[in-house]
Amino acid sequence: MELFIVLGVIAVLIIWLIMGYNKFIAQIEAVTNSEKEISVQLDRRGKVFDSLISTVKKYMEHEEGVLAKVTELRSQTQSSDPKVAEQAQNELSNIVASGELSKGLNITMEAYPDLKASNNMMQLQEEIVSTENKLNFAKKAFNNNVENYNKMRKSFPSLIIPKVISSVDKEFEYWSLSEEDIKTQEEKRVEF
Amino acid sequence: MDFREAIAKNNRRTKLVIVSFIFLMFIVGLLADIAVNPAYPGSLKQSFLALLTGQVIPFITLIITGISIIGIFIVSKFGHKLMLSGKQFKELKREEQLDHDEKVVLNIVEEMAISAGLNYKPRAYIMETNEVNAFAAGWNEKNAVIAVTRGLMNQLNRAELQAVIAHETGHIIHGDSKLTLYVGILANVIVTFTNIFAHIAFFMRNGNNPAANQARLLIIVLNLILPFITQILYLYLSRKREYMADAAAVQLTGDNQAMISALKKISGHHDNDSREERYVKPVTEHYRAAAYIYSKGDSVFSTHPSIENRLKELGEKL
Repeated sequence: MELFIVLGVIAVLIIWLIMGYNKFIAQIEAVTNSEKEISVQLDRRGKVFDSLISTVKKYMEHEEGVLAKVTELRSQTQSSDPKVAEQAQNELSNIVASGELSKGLNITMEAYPDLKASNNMMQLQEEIVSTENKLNFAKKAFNNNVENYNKMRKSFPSLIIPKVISSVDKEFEYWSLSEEDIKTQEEKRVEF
Repeated sequence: MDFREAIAKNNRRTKLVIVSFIFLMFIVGLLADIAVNPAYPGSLKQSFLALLTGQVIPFITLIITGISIIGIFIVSKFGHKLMLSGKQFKELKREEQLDHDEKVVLNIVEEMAISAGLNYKPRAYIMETNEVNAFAAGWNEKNAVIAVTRGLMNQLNRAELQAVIAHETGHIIHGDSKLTLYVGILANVIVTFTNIFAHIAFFMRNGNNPAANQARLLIIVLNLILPFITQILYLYLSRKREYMADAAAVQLTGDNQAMISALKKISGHHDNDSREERYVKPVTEHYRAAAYIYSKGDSVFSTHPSIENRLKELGEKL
């Protein structure tokens, strides 16, 4: 009978040890994975921003060119030389017909045409917000995972497991800014 | 306001509800065992003891437990198919042409998956309706979905939309739709078997075994009250899970103000809008009601807590 009790206790202890070990492994993997997620998001940020900004820039340059040309042609239509004026008129209608500017243009020349760049700007803005959010949340998730691991490593009785099995005994640092960075960020104000 | 504590507290209450369901199941099973097999000697208490210690095998209890386990197994395999039916849904995919709002929703779902540390992204759906609502279903890579209505996208700003989607992500990480299905199985098994044995007990002749007679009487009484008790327990659970999801939303976004203003907007919209009462709702709509972010009510008979209580839990001073 006593033998059975002793064996039972040992069996329970072994099961507890195995389950605890597995939990530690899961948490370590969670920390590692979320750490990688941060670099994935950083990498993504660089690429997304570069390509988006260059797209928007291209659009803006192109449309700026079109606008400048339109302005020039408009002043030429006022020209005293009827030939120049007519040519300018034709070219203007060509630009309008080609759809490079929105249809609103031929109704009122004065209003700003609805340029594609503004739409792109909106998308760029959303991408910036979302990408920054993803990066932030990845850092947050990382810190949460570090916290969960540390909590288990330091609390009783699970603290025994890393002492027995050293492969699950890890030292993880929370993600945070350095002291100087915190100071400079603290003093940062939005200025227009 | 400690939102972790809020989650832990409501988690404990969930366990209490589950334990009461299992307790009820065993009570019903054991009573039925005593009622239909009056060969046991002694009082009701002695009969219970005889069954629990295995002196007499509690066949009916074992059968009921077995059926519950099978039901839970089936539901965990196929339950997710119940959710996305009955309404017009459109899945949002990166490759497809999306408008600006749809892209925002997809972005936010991805952000929340990262924040929650999920290793997968729930599928995002939109419902083309002016109702202002959202819901989530599923609990793993294969079946996790988050759906928002077009009305919600139009009414809320980005931060509020983020709060709502975080709430839905909270339901997913807490496994609420799984829990709902499990509890539904338990409740149905309990109520159905009580009903069957109440009918059997009603038509059985009273023997000279006092324990069996008492057990029959108890089953007939339970048959009358258990449907209410299970329903109230289920709704209690549902409300606690809403609080948990709200708290998770704050944790995931780090912003309780957005959740507060989103809830205010959504509830304000529902107060002004009585049209939804006139809808003929499909059958699955009833089933899905508990999964929505918002539903009116503040009593023991509602799936969601009142908006005032939810705001208070979120730290809003009223």
